[in-house]
Amino acid sequence: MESTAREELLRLDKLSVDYPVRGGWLSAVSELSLTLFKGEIYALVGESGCGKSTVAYAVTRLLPGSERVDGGIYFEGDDLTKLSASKMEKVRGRRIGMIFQNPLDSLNPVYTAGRQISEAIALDGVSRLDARDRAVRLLRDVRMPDAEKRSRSFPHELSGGMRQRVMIAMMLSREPDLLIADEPTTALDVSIEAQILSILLDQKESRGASVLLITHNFGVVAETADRIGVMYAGELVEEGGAEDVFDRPAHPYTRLLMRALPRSSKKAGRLETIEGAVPRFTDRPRGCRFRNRCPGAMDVCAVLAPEYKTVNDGHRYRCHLERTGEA
Amino acid sequence: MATAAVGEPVIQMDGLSKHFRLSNNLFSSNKLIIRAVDSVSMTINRGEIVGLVGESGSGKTTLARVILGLTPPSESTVYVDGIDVAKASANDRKRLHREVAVVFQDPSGNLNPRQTALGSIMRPLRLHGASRAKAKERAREVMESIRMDDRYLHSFPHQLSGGQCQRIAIARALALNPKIMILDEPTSALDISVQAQILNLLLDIQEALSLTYLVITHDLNVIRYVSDRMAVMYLGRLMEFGPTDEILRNPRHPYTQGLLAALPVMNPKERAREKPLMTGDPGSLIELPEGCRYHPRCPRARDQCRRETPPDAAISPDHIAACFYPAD
Repeated sequence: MESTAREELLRLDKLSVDYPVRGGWLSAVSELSLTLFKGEIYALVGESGCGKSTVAYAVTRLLPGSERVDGGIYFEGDDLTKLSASKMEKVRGRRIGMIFQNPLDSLNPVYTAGRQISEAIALDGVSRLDARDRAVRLLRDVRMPDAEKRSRSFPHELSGGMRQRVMIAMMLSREPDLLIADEPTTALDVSIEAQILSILLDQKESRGASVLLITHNFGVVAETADRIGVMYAGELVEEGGAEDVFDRPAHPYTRLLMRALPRSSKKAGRLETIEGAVPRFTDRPRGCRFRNRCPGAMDVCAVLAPEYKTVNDGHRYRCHLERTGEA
Repeated sequence: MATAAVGEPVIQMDGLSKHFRLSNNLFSSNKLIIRAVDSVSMTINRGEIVGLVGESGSGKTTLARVILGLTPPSESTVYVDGIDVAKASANDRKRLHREVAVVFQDPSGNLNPRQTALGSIMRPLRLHGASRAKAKERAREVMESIRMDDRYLHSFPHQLSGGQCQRIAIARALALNPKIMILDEPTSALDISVQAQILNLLLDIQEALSLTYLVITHDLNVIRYVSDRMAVMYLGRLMEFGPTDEILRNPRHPYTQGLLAALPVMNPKERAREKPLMTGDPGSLIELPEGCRYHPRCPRARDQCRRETPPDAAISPDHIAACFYPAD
């Protein structure tokens, strides 16, 4: 892909997050390194329990507090893990915006949609009246049907799709450089999903915002992402340009996952499956974390964690096997 | 009638409606009527898999509940294997409970948390008069048919993964040797790798036992993979019904077209394709529009669509679209 003058916005450097559990630590994210450039949509994909949401919470420092975090999170040069709570407060919302899967959890039930959005705007010293106008304009931007009227609605009066639009309008109100979207469309109908995705794409195109998109849905990834990182059991197992990863998935997990997606009729044959389920690890295990489900596992996989292998510029995967054949 | 051959209708409804009354204010007697299912006509034949797709509020789950006899119809009725579910005698009802099984979405909420898998699978058998020994034997049999090790019979739901819970729910559904299975979002809560396992299992079972499935889901990819015919619902009404490959290749109803256009394509190279996106949100069942329910979102709507409700028009003998101006 175009490797000229890509400016780094966010860099995770060997980020590890462990949660305390009875008898030790649960390894949720393990030595994860990735770079997000300005103006790109980076999709972090994986199944439940792979650690993708933990990454989002680690970047915004919204983890519960009992966890153990190692490694660095560099956002425009600052290491967010070392920032004071008050400085972090200024980064969150203003420079890094977030939307989550369930908007009802994040909206205040006793304030109208318009008031919640204008409150976010007023944080930046805009007058109340101007803030109200801008709130309605933002609701229009996120294609809220009947924006003027809906700005006076309370969250319980809105459908799931409308609530997510309010959340997005709140996030966009402060024009953050980085949008973190954690399963933003998972609870929504497909017709709304497509609209929400086009809003995210528009943010990238119109003002060069970067998006860290966290999802389990490969369709959503295919429609939006410039680059893809595939996570498995807390590790980044493959990373590359969207077309490269879809056309030539290199890691056995990515390959199997792609084939497990229903894309055609049963008349064309049964789906391939990956036996078993995602394991959970207390304490960081030796060897490859996918080996017990991997059809190509070898002796070495049990003892030695694989290093990254490069397919081409920007496309790498973490496996002892040489890549063979096509998907 | 009781033992229809392959291909004969096993679920039939003609103008089926289910309305709920809701009082809009604690102190007023004004009643709102929610037309969750409105005048739906559909026939499902023995041995086929029908996929029912729709967005939230389309009435797909209410329709399933009427078929299961969990809620009585408001108008017309459903015939299941020749039995009128609204007027079924106690005996008929018992037969329906044996013949029609159901699997819901939430794998752990589906099962009693205080019962082992064995207890969950034995319960319908015991309710239908099997001895403990017989019920246990049957539980082992169904575990074998879903290719799951016997040892899981002694596990509680919290000790099982989502996919394992869903297998147990399927085993329980199979315990009474049903002829019809209603699967309401059977894989929506599961990860991709587990979804593929469960879908394949369901297809294998359906073929081995020549069952009839009604698969309810919002996921068109699942519908495409498993179903022979598909039905599209929107705000309580059937919009399109016909052979799955025909509808997916050439959808005739503008709503079906919109749904298909919104479906993400698993290929980044096709991202730039023309996408006629639906605008707005699925409307509300409380404030239904006049005429065709889809007209406020429909790019092809004309005056007639705003005044009159379109009838189920035949596109071909087994393909209907409820639209005045279906696409070519």
